[in-house]
Amino acid sequence: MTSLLLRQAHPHFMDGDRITSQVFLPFPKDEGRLSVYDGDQISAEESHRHYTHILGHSSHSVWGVSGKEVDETGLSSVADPLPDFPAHALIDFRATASLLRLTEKDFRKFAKRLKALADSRGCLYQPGSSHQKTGGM
Amino acid sequence: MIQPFLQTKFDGARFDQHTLPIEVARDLAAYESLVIDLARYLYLRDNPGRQRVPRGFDAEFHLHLQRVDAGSARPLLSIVTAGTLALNTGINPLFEKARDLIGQCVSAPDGQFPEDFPRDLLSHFNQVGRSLREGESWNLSPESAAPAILTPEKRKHLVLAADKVYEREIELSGSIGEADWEKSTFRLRVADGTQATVPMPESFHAKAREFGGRPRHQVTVKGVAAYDSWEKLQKIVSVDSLDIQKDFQLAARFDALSDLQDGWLDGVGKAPDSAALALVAENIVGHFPENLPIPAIVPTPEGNLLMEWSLPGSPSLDVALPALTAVFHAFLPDESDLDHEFALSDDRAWPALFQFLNSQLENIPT
Repeated sequence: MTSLLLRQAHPHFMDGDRITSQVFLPFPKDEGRLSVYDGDQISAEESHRHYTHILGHSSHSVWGVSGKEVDETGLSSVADPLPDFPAHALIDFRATASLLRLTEKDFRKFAKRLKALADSRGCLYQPGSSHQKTGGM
Repeated sequence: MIQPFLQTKFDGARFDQHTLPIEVARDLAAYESLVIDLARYLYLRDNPGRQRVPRGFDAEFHLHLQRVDAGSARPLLSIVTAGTLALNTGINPLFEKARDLIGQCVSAPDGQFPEDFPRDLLSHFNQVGRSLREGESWNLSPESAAPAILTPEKRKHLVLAADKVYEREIELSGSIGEADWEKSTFRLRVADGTQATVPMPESFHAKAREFGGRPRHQVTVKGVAAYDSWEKLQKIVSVDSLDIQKDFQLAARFDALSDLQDGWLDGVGKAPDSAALALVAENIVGHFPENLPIPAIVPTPEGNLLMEWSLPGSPSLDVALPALTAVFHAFLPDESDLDHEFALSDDRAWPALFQFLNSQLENIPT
């Protein structure tokens, strides 16, 4: 994928207004695949609204990495449209881990790389804040 | 002999059970003091030839809390006197006049106080009603008269009508700046930039020496302070207590983590093991090297902790609970990884971890 991939930051994974790498670490239930929004299909603000209002989850803010950046870390990204969630995409840690014989412990290192890239891009959307960059549409 | 003097009424959440918090006793004592001072003033005004009130003028005026009635809390204040004296004199009408004037003063629109109420006695409202909190009120009028509702805001306006500052109870937290041992004071630096000189007892000198100039440790001052009408702190008037919180940011973070329940992550997410978390907090709070930046500390869905520093190399420490093992990782300048594992179940392991962090984080090029 070449679009900007949008990731929702859970409030408990924030350090004030800064993200931690935990934001970019797949949840255990996701089996090594990190859910993101395809920024070509949905804006950062709309993704936040979908995540919190439609899916009913918590999100402090929206951060993003490009598909190209994901490739450069050694991970891959893929569109994963769902029937009621066409903008759904994945950053796949599992395939890389399998290829390089990495353990889940090594996921932290990839998460840090993604976090550093997202951090340098800055917050794309935060409700009630001036953070509202062009998160791709 | 017991003679009812005033049935007052407190409203607010703290009074819903028809009880009076002990701290309100100070307000009642302050009210008694105001009644006496106002009665003395009225006597001297009505007797211009007198320099002072007659001996024993207020000797028999002692308010007692006779009972607390329901709705919300309605304490009945009564005068208890020796029988013969009471029969001889009854309540001096000037005290009843003072009681009524206080009610009129409180119920008066701003700036329109009764003529009989001297402005210099308005400072009594620094004490009368000081324990009232936001949303609470105190009716100081006899039940047969129009209500005289004292609120924290009304109290402030009453005092400021005659003075530039008013006093209220405070709980201020900040770091200890420079100390003046001769005057027995220290400079409190609050996070919002406010600074204040705080009187301290000699027993606090050792702590002021230990924690002065160390902003990671916080002191909480409880007492009374004077504020102007713009709510700007002017002076700490008195101090009831001074408490040190070591590494207050880290302590607050661990407190928040200990509040997590299972399901904290949108229905999933395991809460950190409470005993293990307490042990981690115990070994970090008050011991974390002051030369190291404070890390972000966040929970992981598995009930573990991530400590992460915003430094080059993205150093981090993944702490597994309740196993109490930790994995340190950082990217080195050549893009290779630095990994190090720790077993933290032993008390001696923590100093070794801090020593490792000192050596690694200090050497990371910026």
